[in-house]
Formats: sequence, C-alpha cells, structure tokens
Amino acid sequence: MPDVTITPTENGPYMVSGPVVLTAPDGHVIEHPDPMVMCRCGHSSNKPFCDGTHATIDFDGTLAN
Amino acid sequence: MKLVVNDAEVEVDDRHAKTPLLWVLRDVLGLHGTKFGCGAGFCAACTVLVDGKNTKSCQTATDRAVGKTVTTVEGAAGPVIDAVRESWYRGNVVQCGYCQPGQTLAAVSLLEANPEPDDAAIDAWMSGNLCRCGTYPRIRAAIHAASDALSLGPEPAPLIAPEEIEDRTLTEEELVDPVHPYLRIHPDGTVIAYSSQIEMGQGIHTGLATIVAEELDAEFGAVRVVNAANGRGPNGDVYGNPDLGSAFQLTGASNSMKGFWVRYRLAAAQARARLVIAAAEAWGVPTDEIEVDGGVLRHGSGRQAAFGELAARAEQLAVPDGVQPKDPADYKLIGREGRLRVDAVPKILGATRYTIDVTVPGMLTALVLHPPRFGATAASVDDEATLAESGVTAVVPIEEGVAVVAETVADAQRGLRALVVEWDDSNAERRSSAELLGEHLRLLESGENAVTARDEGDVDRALDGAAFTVDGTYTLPYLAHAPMEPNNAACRMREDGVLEVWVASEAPEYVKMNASSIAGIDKEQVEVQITFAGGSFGLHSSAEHDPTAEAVQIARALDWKHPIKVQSLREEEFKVGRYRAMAVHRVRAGADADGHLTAWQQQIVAAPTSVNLPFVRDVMFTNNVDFFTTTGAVDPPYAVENFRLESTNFETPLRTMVWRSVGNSHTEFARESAIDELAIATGRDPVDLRRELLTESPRTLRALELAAEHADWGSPLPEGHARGITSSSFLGHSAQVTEVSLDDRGRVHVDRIVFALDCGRNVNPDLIRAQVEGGLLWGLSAALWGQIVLGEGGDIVTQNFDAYPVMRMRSVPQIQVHLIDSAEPPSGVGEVSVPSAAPALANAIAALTGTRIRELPFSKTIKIY
Repeated sequence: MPDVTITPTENGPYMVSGPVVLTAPDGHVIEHPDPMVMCRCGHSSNKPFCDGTHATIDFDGTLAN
Repeated sequence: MKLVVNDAEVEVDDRHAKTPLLWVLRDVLGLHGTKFGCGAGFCAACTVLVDGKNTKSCQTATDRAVGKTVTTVEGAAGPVIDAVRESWYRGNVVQCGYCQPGQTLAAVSLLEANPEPDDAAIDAWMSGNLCRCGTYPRIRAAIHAASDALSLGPEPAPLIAPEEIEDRTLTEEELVDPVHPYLRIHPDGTVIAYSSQIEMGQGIHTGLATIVAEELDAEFGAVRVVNAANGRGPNGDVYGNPDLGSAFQLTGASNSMKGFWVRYRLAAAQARARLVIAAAEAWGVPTDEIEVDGGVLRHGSGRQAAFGELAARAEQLAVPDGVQPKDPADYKLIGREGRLRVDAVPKILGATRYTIDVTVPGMLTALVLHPPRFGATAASVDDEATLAESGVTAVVPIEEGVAVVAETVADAQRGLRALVVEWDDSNAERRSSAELLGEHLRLLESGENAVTARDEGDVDRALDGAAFTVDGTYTLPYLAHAPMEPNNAACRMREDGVLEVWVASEAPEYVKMNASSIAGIDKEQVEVQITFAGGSFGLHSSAEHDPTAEAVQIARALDWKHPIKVQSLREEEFKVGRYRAMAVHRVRAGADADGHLTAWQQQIVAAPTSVNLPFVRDVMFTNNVDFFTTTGAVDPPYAVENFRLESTNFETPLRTMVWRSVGNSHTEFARESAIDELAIATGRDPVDLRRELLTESPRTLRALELAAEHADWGSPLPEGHARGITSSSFLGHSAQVTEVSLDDRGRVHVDRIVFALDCGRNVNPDLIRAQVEGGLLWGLSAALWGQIVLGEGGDIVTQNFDAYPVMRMRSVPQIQVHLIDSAEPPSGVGEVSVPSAAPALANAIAALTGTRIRELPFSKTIKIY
C-alpha cells in the first residue's frame, strides 16, 4: 500500500489519508487532520477543504475512469 | 508575537502561535463577540476581518495574523459597518443572534469589494456563513438596504449597545407583589421587564416588551427585557407557565405569548393603575382626570410627571381591585407594524452574553469526550499524555464520558486529542441507522407492541368498502438541532452554599432538579442564571445528561474549588444525541366513489420523546401513547368518520428530544402526503378535497383559501413547474403552497413558498413573519438534506456540518407570508411553519415528476438543490 491514498467519494469530496504536506501558494504550510477532506465541487467556502456544500447543490462527481 | 487587533498592538505568548486565532481572541484577549460554531471552517460563526477580508478565525493559526490587521465585531467601525448594522437592525434580521457578528463582517467585506451586489453575488459571498434561525432572506435584503444607504446617504450613525442590566434575585417582597416579578420602573424611566421566557431567537422579549409598553402606555423604547428565573416563593413559581397550570417555568411548545398574554398585560395594567393613583395623590386630583401617554402622566391643570418620577411612590401602593387590560380598540402598538427587536442591537454588536461567554474569576473550561456509540461507557482511560499538555489541569471521568479540564478551550482541546479511552459497548446501540430503520419498519409491519391511540367508527369495514384507497409508508430519519451555539453550561459553588448555574435552559426547573441531585443539595440551593441561547429549537429542554449535569459532576469531582464551564464541541454535541426521533408511518386511507374520504388508518413507530421531560411526561405519556409522537396524527384538522391511530414505542439507548415542532415534524409529512395521494387517486383537486374536510374548521379553511389565492392555485404554470399544497391546525391555522421547477439536468429546485397563517391576534406582524420564514427554512433544510447516520456497529458518523448539511443562502427560495388578523388570543408561531415544509414539497414534486417521495431526506431519492 502506498503511504498516501486519495479517494474521490461519491458526488462528494476527496478523502486524503497519509502523510501529506499541504502548502498554500505563498508557501506556508496548512495544518490539517489525517485524513483530510478536500473540496471537489468547487463551491466550498472552506477551501481547500470541504464544507458540505456539495450535498446542497447536487454536485455530479461522476468519474471519467 | 505581536498582533494588531482592533487597531491596538497586543502581545501574545508564543505558545499560542499555532492556536486558532478564535481562541486567542476569546480566551486570551477576552473578545467574546467572535463565536465558535464548528471548529472546522464549515459555519463561519468565527468570522473576523484580516486585512479587511472575511476570514474564519477557527481556521487561522494565530501566527498567520502577525503583520496583518485583525478586526473583530468589537472593533469594526466606519460607514460600511454602520450601514450594515443599521439595515440589520431596521430589517429585524436578528433572531438568536449568535451568527450575526460573523454575518455582518462578511457583509462588510462583500460591500467593500462590490458596493452594489446583486442577489447572485450576495448568495455566492454569504453562503459560507450558516444561520440556523433562517435569517437569510432578511440578510439578503439588509445587504441591499446597506448598499443603497451607502450610495444615497446620509451616512448612518453607529449603533450603540445599551448598558447591560445587572442580574437580580427577587426579594421576598418582590415575590409576593403582583407586578414586580414581571416588571419594574426605574427612576430614569426605564421599564425593566423580567421575562419568564428565555429568548432563544423566537422574539419573545420583543413580544413581552410590546404588550407591557401597550398596557403601561409607555414608550416602547423605554422597555428593556431580561431573562429571569428563581421565582419560587410562597405562592408557587411566579414564572410558572400558565399553559402548564403555572406549575413550573418552561419555554416551549411555542406557547410563550399564548401563555403569558394575560399575565404580562395584567401586570403592566396594574403598574399603570398604581402610577395613576400615585399621581392623583400627589396632585390632589381624581384618578379619572389623569391621562397617560408615552411614559408621562398628565392632568388638565397642566401638571405632569414622567413614570420615573412617580415609580417609587407608586410601588408603595396596593394594586386596586378590578384592573383590566385595555380594550383592543385602544391598541397603539399591538398589531401594528414597526416594532424593532429589543435584543437586536447588543446581538449585532457582539455584546450579548451567551453561555459560551460566561466567565467568572478562577473559572476552568472543560471539554467532554463522549462515546463514539450511543450507550457505550468508558472502560479505561489513559490520561498521561493529556495531563502533560500545557494548561490541562485535570481529567475527570463522568457519567456521560471523560472530561478534560483546562485553563482555556485550546488547552482542553489539545488535551482531548491526546486522550486515550477504551469504550465498553455492552449497553451500546450497535445497530446502524439503516438497521434501525429496518427494525422500525419490521415493527410497523408486525404491529407487535402497538397501542391504539384513537379509534372511531369501523375503519376496517370502511377501507374494505372504499372505492379508492391509498396505502403509503413514510420514513423519516433522526435529526439533530445543531443550533449555532453548541450547548454549554457553567456552574460554581458559592461560599454561601448556593450552587449557581449559568445555562440557556428552556426549563430552569429541570436545571435545579438536575444540578441539585448531582450536587447532593436541596433544589432551592440551586440558583439558575438564564443566559441568551444561540439557538435551541428544543435541544435546551433537557433534564439530565446534558452540559449542566456534566459541569456539576466535574465541579463536584474537583471539590467545588473551581467554577467550571463545559463547552460543547460540535462533534461532541452530535455524539450526545437528543435527536428528533426516527419515525415511520403507514397510512391507509379510503374514499367512496364520489371521492369523499371515508376511512383513515395510521400506524406510527418511533422512540417516545415526552418521557425525557419530567412533569410533561405525566400528562403527555399516558396508556403507553406518547402525545409527542402522535401529535398531528391523533388530532388532524380533517373530519373523518372512521379513524384509527396506532403507535409503537421504539426502544434504543439513543436519546430523543423535542425538536422544533416535535411530533408534527413527522406526522404531518405522512398526513399531508397521504391526503395528496388520495386526491390524485380520486382525481380530485387537493384544495377541493381539503376544503370539504375542513368544513368544521373554518379558521384552517380560511388559511387554505388564502394560501391558494395568493399562490394562484389552479392557474396554469409554465412547462416544468408545479405546485403542492398542505394545510394544518398545528398551533394556529395555516396553509402552504410550494412551487418547484425542473431544470434541464433533471434537478428539482424549490422556487417559491406561499404561507398563510391565522395565529390569533398578531402582536408584532413582522416578528411573526420572521418566525414563519425561519421555520420554513428549518423544515426545508431538514427535508432536503437532514439525517443522522450511524455506521456499521453503531458508530456515529454524522458529527459536523460537512456531514449534516444545513441550508445556506444560495438555496433559499422566495417566501411570501400572509397573515390573517384576528381578535382571538394569540397562539404560537415559533414552530408553526416547520411541519408543512416537507409535505408541501413532496406534493409539489409528485405534481412535477409523477414520483411520490415517501422517504426523507429528499436528496436520498432525487436530485434537488
């Protein structure tokens, strides 16, 4: 098993588990829990993390593969 | 570290570098206007401005704010915030108020970036800030109003918070006076009204201020209202709820105005009569020559005195016999538009004291880790790493879990994360929510343990002989209240042996029972200080195993050496439960060949709720039937000759609690959906069918006609649009029409809600509309997305707003409220619009798509936004 696993959940966020360093464009390290839940719908007000909005906007997260 | 907060440079210890800015602001700098809501960036209650941009302080490490300017609600100043606050105040935006400092700062940031935002821009910007009271439509309108004010001028003046009123304990003299437990007039003319009813957003302080000012003929602006408790004296509890025989103090069942309509008007009329006598005596004139208006007594001779001048003299007088409240024809305030909420200004300014804000010298903060499955208990606790964390002072196992006691929330939170607890599951609920639903449905099918709640006529024969029948099973999930302020409590044992408890409780009597039994003291040795509630919606009706119980256990374990504040983390509150019960219903209804309803059989399976409320259960749980489960089903507004209702009490360690609109939150979904199904089956118009069933309920019928009229019921809608209708006699008399549309991706959108209501006399029409709006959004949010999920083995999966989506501004439909004025006494409005939100939508979706959805939330079945 790799150290880091990224799982796009059904019509929901990315679940990211494992030792990950998350950095902002300005280089500062963003603290996060493990696993962390990352926005996939683009509508979170808590980016890069999920805030649950995907469920209220009927986000279609169907995978291409 | 050096921070610049509200234009002042402050030094903060480096050990807080990684502490969320929220906790440094609150616990280190003592700025309590910034609120905690979720701790995870989902709700934005903690919004502050960092370099002018709205920022979630719970997600900002304090060292990230170094070199930037931080502005909190306490320090925000200038024309934009002034315009925002003024429009918030004028628009009666605020309800519980807990989220409003964050909302107003987010609005400032928006207006700085975009001075004339349209609805779409407002929705996009403001959707980060959650509000559980449902103030979104008013926030949107207030932002437009602020934008207009800024472009048109003149510059609004800043709002100024009134001075805080000291808590007081009634003296023995005050307890036996007919007036003083309820109001007192100060020498400066201020009228202090003592509210037996906790203000949790519903607006009862403003309602009481209105009826008190009306009967006193005082200026509305002269009335201040505070939460009161500890009213037990020789004549019983002066704050006892008249709707419950005045036995004990309780805010609930939306009955505050209904229950206290007589008492506060009478107390004010009596106070006015004493003032008139005092003036007559002072001036040597007959009482009937004295006129009272605007807080001033006048005589034709030219003599006059303000209330404050005569208050002390008047207080010495006996209340004359036969004082009666005013003739309604003389009302100047009641029923009129224009009242602004009396609690709005301090809430907008972040000055209102909620339980989370209680601080007394030496107080320690406790966070409680609750079991991950309902009914599990701590088997072993390894607290070594926790106690090694700086600021942590103790780890205390209590009945509900394990408490970490520390100097600040951030310290306690680090301690909590380091805590290792093994849980004993021997009494735990190990079923998943899907398995629990399956068991509810099995009991519904088998009928074992079912009890008959009402049985009239011959339902079986009527169903057999029916020309048309419908048979539907409706399922509803567990729901959390999730108010913006997680449930907190604080206590301290005073040197005089009195245990003081600060809590935003709907039932101060329960607090006394709960705290005294744990402390091992007499009930009257507990003094309750009622704080403002950052929402409750029924959650704060608990009588045991709640933050009060936790705080008292912790304080006792630490030998009463420290005042203790228990603060709930959002996750921990979800893990405590006290949910709206899961409920399943089966309705079989029959109609004759002409489409007239002839038979109604309904079965319910749900865990009982009233059993958790002392005294209430004595009258609400009888013969194994829980009225809090069957309300709305056992007493429908519709006349039907053959009727049977059965209910089964579900057993589980999962605790239930009253949840805004209680049983009606599920029974009306089944009832109003089934009526609609019958209308479809018989080919009848659903308004026409209801009209026929409401001939004995003229007030409900009138609401139905009014809603139908304003929604243009029966007129054609464009392709892809549809309407659904409901009616109800819950609390008042109401009807709702919901309009929906289908987009090109097959998704349903809720476009418009028209709500008609007869709630008796309209004391403050605008506050009634605000409650109806909030109740609709509350009901709609739950209907669309709300459900508590327990995973395999009973693990509590739903623990924060990411997994428990609640409505954000972008999903708010248009809402139109039409009030019917009436000379009947006022009835409640806080819950009145909640039950119809789901069935009106289900009926609209059925009309739109032909699909009948009987399972909530809707998002499990269809694409909806």
